[in-house]
Amino acid sequence: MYSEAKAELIQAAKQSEEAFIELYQLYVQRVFRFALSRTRNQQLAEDITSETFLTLLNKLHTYTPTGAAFSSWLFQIALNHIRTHWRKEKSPPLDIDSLADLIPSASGNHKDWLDLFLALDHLLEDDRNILLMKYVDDLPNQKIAEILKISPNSCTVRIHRAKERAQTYLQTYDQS
Amino acid sequence: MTNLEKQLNELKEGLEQSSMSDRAQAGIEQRLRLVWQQNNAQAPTMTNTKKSWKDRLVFIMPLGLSGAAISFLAIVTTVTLSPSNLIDLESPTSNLSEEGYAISDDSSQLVTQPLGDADVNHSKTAGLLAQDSARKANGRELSDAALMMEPMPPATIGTNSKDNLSFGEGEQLFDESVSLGIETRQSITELITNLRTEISNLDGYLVGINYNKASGATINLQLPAEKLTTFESYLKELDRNNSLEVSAYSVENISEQVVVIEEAVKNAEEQVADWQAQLESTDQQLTFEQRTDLQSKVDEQSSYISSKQGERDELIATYGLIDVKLTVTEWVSLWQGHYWQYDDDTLGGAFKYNLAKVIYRLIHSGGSLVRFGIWLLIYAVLLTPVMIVCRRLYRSYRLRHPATPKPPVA
Repeated sequence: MYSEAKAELIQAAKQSEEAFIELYQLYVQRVFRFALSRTRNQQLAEDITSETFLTLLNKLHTYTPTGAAFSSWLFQIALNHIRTHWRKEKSPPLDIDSLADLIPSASGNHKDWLDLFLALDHLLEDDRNILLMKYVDDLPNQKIAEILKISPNSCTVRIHRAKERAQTYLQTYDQS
Repeated sequence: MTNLEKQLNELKEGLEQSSMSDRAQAGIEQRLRLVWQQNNAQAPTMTNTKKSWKDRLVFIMPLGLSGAAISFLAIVTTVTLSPSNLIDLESPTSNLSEEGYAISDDSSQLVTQPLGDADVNHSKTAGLLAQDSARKANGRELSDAALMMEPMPPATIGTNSKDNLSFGEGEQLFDESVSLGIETRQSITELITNLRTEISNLDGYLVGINYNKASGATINLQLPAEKLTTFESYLKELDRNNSLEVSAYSVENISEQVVVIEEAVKNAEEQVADWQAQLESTDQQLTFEQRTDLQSKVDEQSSYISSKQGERDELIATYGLIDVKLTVTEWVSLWQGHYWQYDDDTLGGAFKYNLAKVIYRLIHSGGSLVRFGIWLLIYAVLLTPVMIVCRRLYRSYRLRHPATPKPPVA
């Protein structure tokens, strides 16, 4: 479980460059992995991370603590950038070699990884995001609900349904 | 754990091994620092830099001046357009000034029209009874010289008793009619009751009343000529503007009709006297039949004389009264003490009346404070575009001449 930035640091980051950089360093790797899991492209993930923190810099003064975690807001910004990017550009075909570069542990069973990513790509965007947040980003249901702006109960139901759909796809690939 | 969850966990572990390169991370950090500094230079509000008193003055002054101007305009409008002022601005003016209504001694210079078509539409001054100085010495014949008239006191023709009837030499008889108009705030029924009492006191009588709410009341009455001035003074007191409108005045000289009758009577009397002399004369030897015939002629002519004299008296009695047509315009109360002329003849009139009614009630129910608030709002809305333009000008000026930010405090 990752630690959240303290309220004092967020408040100081509104007025101090150094505090903002500290905030950036605290979250940069998490935002990068969040972007990488969705783009599966190192360069693109870095660009998305950069855009996310630029947006944060410009909009931080509008942030007011509402009880939700700060990272939820940050991931929401990152998710918006990812969506905007995919709206402009089409997703490239899955390349197993680049996948091996991206995930060193994926060098073993290539077929299983390929099936997993194909199944995720076939899912609706909301289903894909919710599964990645739950199992890859390791976010609790409460935070996922905050990012997607839904209730925690609805979040649980949607995770369950997304998982069922993904399993159905995986079974189909196994049979074929 | 399902196969899917297992694979996703593996993906998570795999991603945890990958991280952003230090170079990329440093590049983003450098970019963020650069943008931070640019933002501070362009938008000092993002930092805790304090505005100088000059900046504050430049920003506050237009707002303060606009606010003061709006408040001033609202106060002036509230005071100027108070309901009482509004009613004065909107009310129709009474149409006759005091000068136009006064009776002038200069009427001696008046020249009237020929008797045959003596309809005279003019001011009341011209309606004064005039004396016929041109009547010929025999007092019976009227010529063109009679057109020149001189002022004379009102005719002394009574109305109730024929004993007062007189039409001597040097006097003329006029058929007069006058149309008057007043605006009243009284209840129309109360006004009519008061008028009837006053008319009765002046020895006049009411001919008819026609009233409807839209056009007001039209009252026809007859008054002795000499009482007209008194009646007009009374009406003036009733009018809401303490003035009286004379919309028409006509005078017709009917002396000739009386003169003709009197001439006929005189001729008949001379004839009767002649016959009477014949009857009483002892010089003439008249037969019984001739006497009887002469007597019957005398009787017949006497009867004719008496009927003509009756006609003459009736004529004098009739035209000794002035026909008065009085139009009363009713002003209805909109709100305590404020009146408006009711008009539903036209769509515009009805709309204006009802709109005024609503506005008056709205304004009066809230008092001055609400009126001030309404005007303040109106002026604020009107001046908003000006303020927006001022603000934009200020901003564009600030972009060209940016304020130097103080070092941010960590």
